[in-house]
Amino acid sequence: MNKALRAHPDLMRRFVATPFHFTAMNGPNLFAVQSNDLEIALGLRRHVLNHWFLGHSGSSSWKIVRDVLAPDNTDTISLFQDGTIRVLQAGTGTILLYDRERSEVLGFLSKKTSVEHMVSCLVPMLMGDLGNSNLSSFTKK
Amino acid sequence: MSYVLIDKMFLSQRKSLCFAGANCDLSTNSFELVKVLDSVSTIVTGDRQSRFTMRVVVDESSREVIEQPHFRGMHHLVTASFGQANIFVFDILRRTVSAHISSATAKDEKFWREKLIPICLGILGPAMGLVPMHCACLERGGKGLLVAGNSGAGKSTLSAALSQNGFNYISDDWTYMSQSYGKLVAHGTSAPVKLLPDAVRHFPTLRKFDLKTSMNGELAYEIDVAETFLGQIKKTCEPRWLIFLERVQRTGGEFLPVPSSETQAYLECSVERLPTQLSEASAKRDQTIKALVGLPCWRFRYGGTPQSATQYLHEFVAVQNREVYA
Repeated sequence: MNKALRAHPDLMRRFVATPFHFTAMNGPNLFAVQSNDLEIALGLRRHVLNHWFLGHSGSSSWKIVRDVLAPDNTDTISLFQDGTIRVLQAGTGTILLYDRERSEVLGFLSKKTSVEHMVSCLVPMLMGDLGNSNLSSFTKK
Repeated sequence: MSYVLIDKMFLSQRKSLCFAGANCDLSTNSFELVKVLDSVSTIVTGDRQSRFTMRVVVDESSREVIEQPHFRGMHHLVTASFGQANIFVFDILRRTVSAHISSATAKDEKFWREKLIPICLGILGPAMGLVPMHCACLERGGKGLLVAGNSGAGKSTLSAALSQNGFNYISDDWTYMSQSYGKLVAHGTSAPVKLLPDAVRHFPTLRKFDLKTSMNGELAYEIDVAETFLGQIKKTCEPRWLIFLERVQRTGGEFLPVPSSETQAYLECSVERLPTQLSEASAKRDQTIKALVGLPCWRFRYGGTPQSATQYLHEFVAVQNREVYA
């Protein structure tokens, strides 16, 4: 039984190394970001320092991975929420997950999704209000 | 941009279901989906530990069919999308599956039986003490035989041959292991047996079926054991033996005992790594693996046809039973 044959590949990209870490403090609130891509880590840190801390309180932890293996058809954006979990999917390859209860943002950025687009467009969509929150409807377009 | 907000109040269709020993509380807006999942479900057990919640919003206006899957996971969250219209989100810590799917997907029993339910059990299983194990499982006289081995060793071919020769079929690829009242239980999902194109040499009846591209991209026959081989399908059994299958060139068959340390190393390597956030799930899984390591284990080296291998396995089971009663 060859060990190499037995080892499972990381098909979900759960264990991608994320060597770029930054933390920032705003009073008691800690923001921590980690990524496998320096541009993502720096872009998020800048966004948090300039925008996030102004409008949000509480600590949060972010882990965003540049996913070069993902399909890159970023034409449609969909947002999906169930309870404390919110998921934004742009095309197939860009997926951002926000667990409000745990204050965690996790995700994958496809090759073509720029950091600028992520911080200026996708992150506000993911974390903002869901427009007129008429909770009586579960599908809105 | 579209957004979907799952509001439990509007998921008026509710049903308690059970898949491979794991109870599932389904809420959805689709009666069609309830019907489909009910047909896949087994009888609900009273086990509160092995329970997960599934909330599915079906977009009745969407007819989009299932596309190639895309899986990603981080910490306790996993997503599986099958095209833009079908997205599933698994929360392992909270043991929930949330989904937004098309009406075509809701009605596709084959998709739920063969893909989505095994995926659910594979992802959420560890949090419920259910260990997805890459092995086939057959049963005879109430006793289960687990057949493990590397890809290409012939697990599926042998499972098909055994199901034609007196063994009841539980699974050919993934078996879900749990513990109930201190006993190991192996569960199958009634998924079809997947046979590679060259299996037609041993089973000429396959010629009347078309090859299909399976989820891992392999071209294979996906065969209903009961319909094609007239085999009996069972949902669960208590496993008694673990066999590592090894194909050799020379014709014949032999059984060699495998030390428990080797079994343990195999099982630990064959289960998926879990992130540190899931330490509780990891500990539950370790307990089940420990019980599996306690099973008598052999390496079965065989050459020749799968039908000839079934004869060796019949003798093996008979000898083991005699030894128990001696």
